[in-house]
Amino acid sequence: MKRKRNKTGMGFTLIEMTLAVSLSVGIAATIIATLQQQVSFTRVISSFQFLRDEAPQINTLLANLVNKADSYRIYVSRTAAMTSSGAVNTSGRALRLRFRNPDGSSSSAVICFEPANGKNRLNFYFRGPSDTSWPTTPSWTITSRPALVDFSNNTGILLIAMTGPNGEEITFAGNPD
Amino acid sequence: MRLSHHRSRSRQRGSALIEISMSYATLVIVALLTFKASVNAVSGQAWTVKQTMTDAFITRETALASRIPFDTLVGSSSPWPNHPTVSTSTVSLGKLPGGQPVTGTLHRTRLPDENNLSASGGSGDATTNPSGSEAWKLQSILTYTVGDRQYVKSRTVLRIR
Repeated sequence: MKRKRNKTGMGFTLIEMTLAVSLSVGIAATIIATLQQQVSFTRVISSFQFLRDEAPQINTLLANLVNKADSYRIYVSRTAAMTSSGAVNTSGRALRLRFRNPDGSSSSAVICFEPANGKNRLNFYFRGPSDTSWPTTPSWTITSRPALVDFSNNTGILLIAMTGPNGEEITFAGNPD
Repeated sequence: MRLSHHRSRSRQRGSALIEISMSYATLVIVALLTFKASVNAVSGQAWTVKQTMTDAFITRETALASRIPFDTLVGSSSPWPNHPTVSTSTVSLGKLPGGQPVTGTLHRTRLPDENNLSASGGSGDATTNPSGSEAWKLQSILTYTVGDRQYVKSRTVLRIR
């Protein structure tokens, strides 16, 4: 009952199998390394998103708003800004802008960094010349990406320091024209 | 007939090894190309981010130059010393994700208008400059590096009194 192996149907040798397994493991390791590398690069690229995409747009927007204003004051909170109480030069979280209209009337706006709906937001509140009170909800949200926005006044220059979600920092400057 | 079949089988086994080696080599090449493309994408991004940071910084510099009191500007401890004296300092431009600081080198100097009176560094006199007006060009030059390349950004503000 001894089975005779057909020579032509013989299996692979141990060396062949070792070689095949080694190469397969090598290929698998290379694929995994390539994938991990792509994941790392994607993470790095997305961590730059705030500085790359968001910050320049916020800068343009804030620069336009501040340039159009006639004056500004810095306050520690939205409430303080809306009631014009206790202006500060450093560590401000709200900026009150005053705009003079062509007809002699004036409008006001408050840009403030505040938590809302579980997220930190840079909100804009606008009070027109005929409005008797400030709106209770933001007129619009400028951005919800920064972890912190700090308003300060250094030698007469308005500085807006923004800290991004990954610890990145950028400081913009502006002055009313 | 049997010998021919055996040879054919051997060739088949040998070609499998070559196929695996080729696929492995192709995979390595693809991995290297992907790595190179990713490195290019990240370095391009670093360039964009530094442009944003330096633009923001130079805006601050322009604002300060426009705002500084004239007496401070022409005083002995002026932030913009009279040319050819140049003040050089290392400045913080911001931070990258993770908190890594980004710095640059700021050079400042001020150049007199040639029609300034001699006391203000010019060659004008009562005939050419009867009002005794004084004009200075405030130059701020920011140098920074991205990778192994150095870049320069400058702004000039004219102040007159």
